[in-house]
Amino acid sequence: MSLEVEPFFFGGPDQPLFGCYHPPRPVAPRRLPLLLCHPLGYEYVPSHRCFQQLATRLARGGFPVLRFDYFATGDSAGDEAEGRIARWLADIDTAIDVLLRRTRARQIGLVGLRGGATLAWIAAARRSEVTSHALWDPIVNGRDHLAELIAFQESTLLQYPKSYRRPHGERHDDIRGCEFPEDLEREYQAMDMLSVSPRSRERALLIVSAAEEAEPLRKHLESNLPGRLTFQHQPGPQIWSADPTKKMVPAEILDSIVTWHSQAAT
Amino acid sequence: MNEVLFPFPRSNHIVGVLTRPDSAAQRVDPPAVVLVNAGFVHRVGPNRIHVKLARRLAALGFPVLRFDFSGIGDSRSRRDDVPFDQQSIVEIEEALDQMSAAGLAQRFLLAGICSGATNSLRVARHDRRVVGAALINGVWKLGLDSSEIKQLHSARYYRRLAVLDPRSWIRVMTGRSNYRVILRTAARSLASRYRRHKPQPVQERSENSELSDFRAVVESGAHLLLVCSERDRSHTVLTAMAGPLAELRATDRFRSEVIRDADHTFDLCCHQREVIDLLCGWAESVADSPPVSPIANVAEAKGSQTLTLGAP
Repeated sequence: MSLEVEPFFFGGPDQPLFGCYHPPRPVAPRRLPLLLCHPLGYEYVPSHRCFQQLATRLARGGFPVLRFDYFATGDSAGDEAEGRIARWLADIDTAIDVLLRRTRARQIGLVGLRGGATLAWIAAARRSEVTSHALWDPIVNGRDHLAELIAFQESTLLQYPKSYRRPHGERHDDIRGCEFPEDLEREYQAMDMLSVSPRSRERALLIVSAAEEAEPLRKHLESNLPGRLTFQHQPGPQIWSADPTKKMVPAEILDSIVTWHSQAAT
Repeated sequence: MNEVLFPFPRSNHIVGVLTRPDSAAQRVDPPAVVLVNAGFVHRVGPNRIHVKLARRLAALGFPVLRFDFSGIGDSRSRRDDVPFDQQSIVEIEEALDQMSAAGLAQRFLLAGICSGATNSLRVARHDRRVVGAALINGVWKLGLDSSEIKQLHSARYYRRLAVLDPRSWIRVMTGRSNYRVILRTAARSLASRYRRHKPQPVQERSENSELSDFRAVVESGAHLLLVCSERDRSHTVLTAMAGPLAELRATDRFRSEVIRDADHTFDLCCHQREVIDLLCGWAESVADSPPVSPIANVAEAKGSQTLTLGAP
């Protein structure tokens, strides 16, 4: 296999997860290993190319990087209808263990986009090895996000004959081409970044496309990480909701993430 | 689940995943299936449809490979001098070579959406190991020019889809529609209806490469399945060119199907299930078909027939 990426399956033999390890360009001293956490649901496919390029850039900057597919997503085991947030948090734990073992490191950084940033934030609360977070347009509140998803789905279904539309009050089991079981819906409703506080020694980078909407999260992070938060407002295309065939890559944001990690390493 | 990484020794930068058939699914000498990238979408496919399809086919006894072309998904770009427009063909054929060498199959089915359909057709046209190709929402022209296709598709959109959408009517009544486009589309649609009612000499469209390729695949003995989503441009084109396709439809190796109400990438789960069911049924029918001799000429199979322009 090319040294630029090493694909592999890991985790339990019955429910393996797919991952791609990006070995670092050799630098001294070795840098913090980074786990990349993909967006959730329909946002995964349009973001894939961007995440692959982010991993490549970080590896060229000397960081060992692992990006992976949660259970029931991408190339990992599991049918879509089996996907659950509790399981995905456990998958992040598994991926952290795999990356720490592979790099023989004791600390790790998490990088997440959208729902991946949210999950990374929540998962890190129970892992003392996590010392940094790069959070790119995280989903702050699952209930609000779910309402947006449902509104979008209902708007989409208006383009179809009436037989496709749900009667008022009936839940949607398909949201933007992804199966959405009731259990998952309940988990989304309970998801809230503001209910999770970081450990004071962590550092965080928060990049948002809409500054006003991110204000509650920014304040939460600043109060819990005084002097250790870097906030960047970078308006730009929302690549996670774009036409998946377009495969946009916002170079400035990727550079910001690489630079932030590199500055912390020096 | 029985999935492993699939090696490409000649192009070791290519990443592929092989779904091995379930041991419980007894199928003697099945063809292997290769799922071809749709545009720039990586090997899982739009809405993860390649993964869902691969696992369903494997449950029916088919080995299935999905992989990323160079420069797409997890595969890095090529560093040799294979011309860009040939890379997809070279890499699909390498996939077939490797699957043969691994003893997985000697016969193959290809399936792809959008550019995946085009690339599947290009390989099926020349590679006799391909016994079937499922071409989904291909970017076909079939001799029509781009402006004709655009006009036909716009007319279909306004006639069938826009009238169903309350938001379209709100836009019309609140001055937010593109009235010029609506009026132009209506005028052209009326004009084309008038031309159809006028007697006109029946003409054969100049032969085009896509139609030639369809014929060549069928004449070689392989099976061809054309799938189009009702909302997709491919449906507009195939409907408009129903005449030239009629002789192909008369053979038992050519089939075309429409997924009602579906869009280009099957953004509703029900449509994903429908197209997956269709492909699985087709794969089983091809696998169970006895090998047949190539047809010397599709027209001979039907009898000669004057080609006519189809109505939209």
